[in-house]
Amino acid sequence: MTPEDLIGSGLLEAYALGRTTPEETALVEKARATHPSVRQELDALYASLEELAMKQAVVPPVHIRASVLKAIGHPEADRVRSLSPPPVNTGRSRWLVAASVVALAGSLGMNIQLYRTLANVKDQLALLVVERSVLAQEMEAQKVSLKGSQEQLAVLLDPSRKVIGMAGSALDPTGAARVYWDPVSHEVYLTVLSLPAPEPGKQYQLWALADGVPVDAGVFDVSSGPQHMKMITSAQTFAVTLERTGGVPSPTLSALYLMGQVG
Amino acid sequence: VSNSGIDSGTLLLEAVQRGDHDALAQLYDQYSAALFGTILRIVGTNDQAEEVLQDTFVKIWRSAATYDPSKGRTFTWMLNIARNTAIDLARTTQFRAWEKIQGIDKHVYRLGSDEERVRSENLGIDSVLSRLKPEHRELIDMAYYQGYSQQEIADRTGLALGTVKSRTRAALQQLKEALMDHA
Repeated sequence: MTPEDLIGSGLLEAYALGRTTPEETALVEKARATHPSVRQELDALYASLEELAMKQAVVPPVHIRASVLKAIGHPEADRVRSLSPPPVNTGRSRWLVAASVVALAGSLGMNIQLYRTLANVKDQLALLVVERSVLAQEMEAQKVSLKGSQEQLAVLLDPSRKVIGMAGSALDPTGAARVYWDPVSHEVYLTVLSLPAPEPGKQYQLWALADGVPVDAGVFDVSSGPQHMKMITSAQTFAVTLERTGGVPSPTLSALYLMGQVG
Repeated sequence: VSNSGIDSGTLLLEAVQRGDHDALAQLYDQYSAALFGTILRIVGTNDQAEEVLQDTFVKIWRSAATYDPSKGRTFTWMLNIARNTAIDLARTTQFRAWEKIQGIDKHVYRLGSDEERVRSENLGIDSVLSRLKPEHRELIDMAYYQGYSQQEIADRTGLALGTVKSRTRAALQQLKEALMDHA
């Protein structure tokens, strides 16, 4: 009988179920030892019957366990009985339950860990968003500042630009400022080098004198950095007076602080 | 569940072979419910089943050295001890006499009867087998739970021996499918 014939004959099933004649038993056991396919078939049959037994499991009364341990002479049968919980389910299920509990505990632990990590990451992300926003604003400010600087630099480096140094009058001999005037584009910038801070309600005002006529070039603050003033089309002299805030139509000569000639 | 690798049962049984009482306790914890369910199916009463279960584990303890891993897994080996012990008890005259005294039908010889079904359903253990065709279930009952040989089954059912064999194969294949559906 070939292994295939044997597998198809029903003899392996009869053997697995437990009752074959001695001749049949010898035949099956020899074939199992020599043919892996026969062995596999038998293993599969036993697996089915084991699974059937697991599916049909019934938990025996608790006291049987102690009786068994006592019968085999377990040295601590009674103690074992009191300490060991009764089997609540089949062996496979028990292992599965134990494995599940371990897996669940592990999973819970991991979830908690993941949750904490997630919370941390969220916090960090929120922080990063804020930081990014701040940085973006700073960058925008820097861009504006850089653009202004570049424009100012372009103004200063423009060969047609005239630089007029203004010196302090008797009111403040140490006073000094510079005017950058482009006769072509008419643009005027002013940088204060030294001027006393004006009292409240007062503001310095720049004038351009063209043919003796003062033209308002705008008020300015005593701050660092170049300030963009009003357009001036024509000028031989620039002067600064201290006026009321917002400026006046014509300069107060008694409050003349600075003056410089266009070179 | 691997059929080739060493299962935990094998390791425990090896420990039992060395006289490790705790290992037997662990085998009990793992397998007693499965064995008890099978035993109950064969002997049908709790008192008898408890007796058989205890005998089974004592036999496992005493004959662990005879376990041959090449002939199958530990669980199958224990299952066969439990089954044979139960079938032996079911077949003893004492058991038959006890059945008469108790007035209980000899359900073990009348498989498929109403009493058998009711008992099984009450135990909640028949859900897999009940999916089989009646003739397949009967074959598994007679061979596996009552311990009849193929020839005995042929004699009792009036079927040809060849039919019994082919039907046995079909029955176990159906069982395999039922177990897969049931999983």
